[in-house]
Amino acid sequence: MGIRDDVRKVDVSLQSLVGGRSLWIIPDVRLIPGLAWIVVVLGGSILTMVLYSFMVDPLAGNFTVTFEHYRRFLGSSLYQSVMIDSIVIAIKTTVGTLLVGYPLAYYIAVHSRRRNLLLLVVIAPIWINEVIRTFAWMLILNANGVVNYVLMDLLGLLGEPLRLMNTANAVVIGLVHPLLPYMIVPIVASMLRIDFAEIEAAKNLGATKLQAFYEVTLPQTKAGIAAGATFVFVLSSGAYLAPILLGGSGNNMIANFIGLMFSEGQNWNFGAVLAVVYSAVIVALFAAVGLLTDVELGGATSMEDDE
Amino acid sequence: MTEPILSVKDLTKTYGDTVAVDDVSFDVENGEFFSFLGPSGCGKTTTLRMIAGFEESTSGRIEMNGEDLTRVPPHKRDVSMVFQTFALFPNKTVGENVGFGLKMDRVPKAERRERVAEYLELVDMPGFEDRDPTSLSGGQQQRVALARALITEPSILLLDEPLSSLDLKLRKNMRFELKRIQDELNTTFIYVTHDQDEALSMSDRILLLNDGRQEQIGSPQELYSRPVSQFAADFIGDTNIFHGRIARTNGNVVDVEVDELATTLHDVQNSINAGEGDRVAVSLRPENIGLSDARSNGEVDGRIDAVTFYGNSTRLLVEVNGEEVLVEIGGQGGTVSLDQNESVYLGFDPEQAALLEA
Repeated sequence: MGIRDDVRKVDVSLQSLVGGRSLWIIPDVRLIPGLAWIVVVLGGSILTMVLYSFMVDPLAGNFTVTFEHYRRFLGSSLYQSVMIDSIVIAIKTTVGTLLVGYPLAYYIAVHSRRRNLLLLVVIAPIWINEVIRTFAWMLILNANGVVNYVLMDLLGLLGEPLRLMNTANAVVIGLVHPLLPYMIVPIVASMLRIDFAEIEAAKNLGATKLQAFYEVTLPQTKAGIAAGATFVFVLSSGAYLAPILLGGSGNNMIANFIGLMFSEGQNWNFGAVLAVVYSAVIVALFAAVGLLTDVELGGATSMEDDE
Repeated sequence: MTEPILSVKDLTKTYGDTVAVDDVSFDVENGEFFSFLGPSGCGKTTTLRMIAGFEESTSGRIEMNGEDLTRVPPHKRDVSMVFQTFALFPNKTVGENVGFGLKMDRVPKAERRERVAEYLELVDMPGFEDRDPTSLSGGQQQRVALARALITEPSILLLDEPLSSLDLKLRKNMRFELKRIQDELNTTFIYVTHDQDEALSMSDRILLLNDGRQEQIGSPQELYSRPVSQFAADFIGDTNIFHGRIARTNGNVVDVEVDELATTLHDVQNSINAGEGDRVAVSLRPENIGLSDARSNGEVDGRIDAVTFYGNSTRLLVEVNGEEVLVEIGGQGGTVSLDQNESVYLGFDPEQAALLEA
């Protein structure tokens, strides 16, 4: 028995754990359910979308190619500005969840005894039906809602009600609330990997609280922030209900227009164009951010960091 | 004597009903290697953290060079700490870790680079500036942590069980390294450990803590040969603790009738001011018990129960009147052949016996 035999034995035992049987071009049979889902359902729907954006009616067998709908999009400033507004709302929502969520995540991470309870409280809004939750925000933000009641009637700070409802900010507020957990959970996860003695070490070496945070805590939670920001940005950029209920007619987001094209508008082709262009813009944005900041998006789940 | 660099007075720390540190007072001299020794939960780390400023004292004072530290935040204290987990910043290179204290002091980059190289040299890790600290071995991380703490030239270096996460061999090497570095820099070291070997081999003086209270302060020799309590005698080194009664007092020495040995020890130093008839305890180190195969005056007979060979010494468990007595003899084996169940005679050196409260 030499060393080589031992090495081979280790390899074999790992092989039994890692490798499943391969089948044709699929390296591991256990990938089949996931692959099937992605290829058929996700790939199929995206393909349908892409085909409809430049074919007359591919599902009905009419594969005639036309770029008329792309031309219509390029010629219309309305849809382009709606896309820009949607992205601005998504950016505001992302920044908002970060500003509210980061301190909360910090508090949750350092209070080990109450961590599970606090996380539960943070995640709870997701359990409430989206429509009910959004209507609750209408009650709060209305001209005679909770906020204005407190400011005018209780505190007497204002003579007339603040106009909160039917603004872009109302949409942002309505989105920040349910999307907070998507920001908080990855940040908490990245904070829990920090040895808190490192923060004491920084202070011991002359760092103020703020310097210790900037030098030690923040850099180590970058991956968590990137993951949280990705979730929140993607989810908020496609928001549908909040802009309808809280934004009013003037603050529709792109998802509302795409929905309209597929329902009352009965223009699948143009709806598909909007969807394809918007998806491409979002992907391009992520690529640009990734290249410029050198931050691995979704990095909290990367294998390298887990080691 | 010059003014102590650190003076701790009546220091107490309570968490709710739990008293972690109970009325501890001591002085540390400049350039001293001072250890806090005690079992886990004895309050040694809490005391260290209060000196660093990470914990607030409930009452009492900590003075450094005569200045009260109570209101001074951690980042303004002239002490550096080496943590048990090393606490290196994983988001920074080795060089950035070591230079962190200088960066906080706004030392220009070029000078910083020079000093980092100098301190990496000191801990025997030259050229490691650009390495990732998480890729280093435990011993290397330890050295980086040491360099990082020392580079700010603190008046006092605090070390919180710094060797406990290293393996035995490395731990023994690092002891010499720490002593060498302390000699080279002449910095005051305050060292926390639960390992009596570490404390005995490195310290100039040791503060022995038990359950938050200070048991004894003294040099390793004093703690070893003149323990003031059964806890001190038992915790530091191995010992036999016997019980007995003062038969006669004579000036500052006493005769003790020892129950377990059914013999009388004559002229034992009366360090506890015991009076005639008082119940007392006596600590006798295994190496201070002699062994022979022929009875002479005052010796008691016993039977060898177990023999354990340690290379440089041999330890025996000898049964005397049904009690086990631990005896250690030098490598040569003495005059007795060492076999189990053999009869031997034990002789006790009363000068080496330590009288303790019962």
